[in-house]
Amino acid sequence: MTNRVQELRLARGWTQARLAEELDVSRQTIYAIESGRFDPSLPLAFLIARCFGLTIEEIFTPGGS
Amino acid sequence: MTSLLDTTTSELYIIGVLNRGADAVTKIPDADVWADARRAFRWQSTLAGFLVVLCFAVAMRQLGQVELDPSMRWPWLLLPVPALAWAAWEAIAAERRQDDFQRMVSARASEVAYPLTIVWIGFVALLATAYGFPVPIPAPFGLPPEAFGWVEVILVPLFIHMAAFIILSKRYTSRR
Repeated sequence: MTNRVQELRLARGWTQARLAEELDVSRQTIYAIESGRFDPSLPLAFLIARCFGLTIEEIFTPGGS
Repeated sequence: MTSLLDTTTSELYIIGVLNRGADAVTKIPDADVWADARRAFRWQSTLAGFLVVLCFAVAMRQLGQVELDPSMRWPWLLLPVPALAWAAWEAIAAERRQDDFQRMVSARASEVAYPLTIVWIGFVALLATAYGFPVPIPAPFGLPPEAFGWVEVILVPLFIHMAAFIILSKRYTSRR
């Protein structure tokens, strides 16, 4: 699964630490998601989508890595 | 006008580097690793772990005495139990505080550590059959001979799990 989390985060000028605080997760989690090594659970994907004001489909795309 | 969202990821990376915000594409900084560790662990966990080690050491020392009154065996045997129960509670609480990613890494570490522990126990069973416990191990460099006993046997699975957790954490957070 590919995602735009890093792109969206940088567009807001946020650090990984800031995004981690917003989502109440560890910084490692943000790092792993952005590097494509970890696909978030559905609740976390919804949280990420809400955080950026987008839908899950606009952030995560199935297939590839 | 082209918005920031229209730029490519590589362009954003360059912007990020210039703005010191490109931490996503380099190795995770140690400061972030420590921040995550602080998030996951509380001082109570450390204290509970310290108490377990202390109680075990005191109990083992007392139980090892030849002249120990048999009626005192049970009190010394039970001494570490409250500390162990507290440490177990703290370990469960720490696990519950973890997020999805950390739980996944922890589960993967257990997947690796469990079969390795079974192999280890099998090896120890053979060792015990061959030599009995404690096993005298010839010490290198002229050091006094140490006995390989149950304490070492118990510690090895903990180290296996710890090593698996650290290796997997690094694997999932290293650059592709």
